[in-house]
Amino acid sequence: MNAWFALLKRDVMLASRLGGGGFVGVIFFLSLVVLAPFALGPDLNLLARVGPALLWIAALLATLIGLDRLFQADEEDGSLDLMRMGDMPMLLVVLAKGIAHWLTTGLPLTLAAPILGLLLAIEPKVLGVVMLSLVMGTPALTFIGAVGAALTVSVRRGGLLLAVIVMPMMIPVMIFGVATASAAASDMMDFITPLTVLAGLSLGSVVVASGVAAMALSEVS
Amino acid sequence: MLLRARALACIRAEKLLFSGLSFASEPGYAMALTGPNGIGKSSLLRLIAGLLPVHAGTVELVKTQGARVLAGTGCDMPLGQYCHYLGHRDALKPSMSVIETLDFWSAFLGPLPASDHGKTQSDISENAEKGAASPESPPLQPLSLGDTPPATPVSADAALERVGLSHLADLPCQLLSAGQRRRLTLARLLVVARPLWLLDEPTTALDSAGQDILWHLCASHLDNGGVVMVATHAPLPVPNRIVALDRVLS
Repeated sequence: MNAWFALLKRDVMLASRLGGGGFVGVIFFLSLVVLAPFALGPDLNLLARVGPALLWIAALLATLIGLDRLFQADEEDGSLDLMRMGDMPMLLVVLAKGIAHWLTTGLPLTLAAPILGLLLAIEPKVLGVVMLSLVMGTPALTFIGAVGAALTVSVRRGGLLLAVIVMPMMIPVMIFGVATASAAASDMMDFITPLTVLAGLSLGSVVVASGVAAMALSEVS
Repeated sequence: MLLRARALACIRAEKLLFSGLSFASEPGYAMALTGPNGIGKSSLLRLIAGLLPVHAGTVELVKTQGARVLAGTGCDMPLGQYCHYLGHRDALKPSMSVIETLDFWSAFLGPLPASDHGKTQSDISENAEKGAASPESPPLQPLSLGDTPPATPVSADAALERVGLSHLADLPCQLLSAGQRRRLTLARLLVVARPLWLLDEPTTALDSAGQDILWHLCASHLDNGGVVMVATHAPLPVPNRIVALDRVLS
């Protein structure tokens, strides 16, 4: 357990230091969303309608940004070799690195969402639900992405390949994330249902995707 | 403790690198792995560490007393957990400081698997007798300062002092020179206790003082019943047996 926390701590520390790439995703998220009103024009109704979807697309892209280095940095400098040799199961290594990635990308991005919601004229009530959906949904984005990161671990410039691999798998997360927000906006439906599905997707992908990524990483060649 | 391989074969990129490779270490002697470039020295070390699949044959770490197999292809315990592998890639993070790096690896790699505890002591005495009996090439005198058996990990501070980096403890690794990085990886051998050291051309970038430290560490590791395998192109200054890889026409 100590070893697991040491790894989590190390990855959060590495991501938050200069050159670590953590929080760059958040800044990317900010700039994407800030650009939207300029591109769509100052139509408040339109912005309010597409706002949650914009936040979700931006969250997905921001998550993808740091993912290609999730395992690759450790593969390149040999750290991953030492982790393969140690007694900690690869699944737990993936879990620690995934959680560290979420703590430095998904979580700050969720916290930044309300400020951006104001910019997109999203109602405060809907904004709360959007935040909730982001908290519930971004772990799924991180862990589904971890599968792609594990598969492309030895590919130079694998970032684009990674995006192509994982984006189709992220579609369900996207659908239920945006559905949660639109349900809250419409008052016609209960947003709890899509939110529960979203939470289920996250929990499921933490388990399944960690296993798949661990299998890909333990494969020695 | 000894490392024993029988009829090992390794395939890389669908090409047979070596096959039918058998060797066994001798207590108190390092194994010097020699051979021309590309023959498979590094691959052999990675194979022993469990980082390459074993195509055929067995490799095991055997407890000298009772000839019990501790780890390897012959039992469930993978050899990797008993090894230190010091390769060309040094696993140092540019933004982590020297002391943080050591603290992380000692926390992450942790102590040896539980089955190993309590038996190194017998190995030590056994090997001490054998060391005294072998007249050729007397073993290097271990450093008198802070000499610790391989079974007991030393603190990060002590390890840094041993490799001469204690004044740089708080410096980020990106500011270290190549030789200092190498010394830091040597310190990792000390903070995490492992009986089997696999060193891939460990003298790279080390100055002569650094090389002295390296060979002293190896000598005291051997004295304490550890196993050292070094891929090298130069003669080793510690008592050693040569495992020569050579091209054989078949």
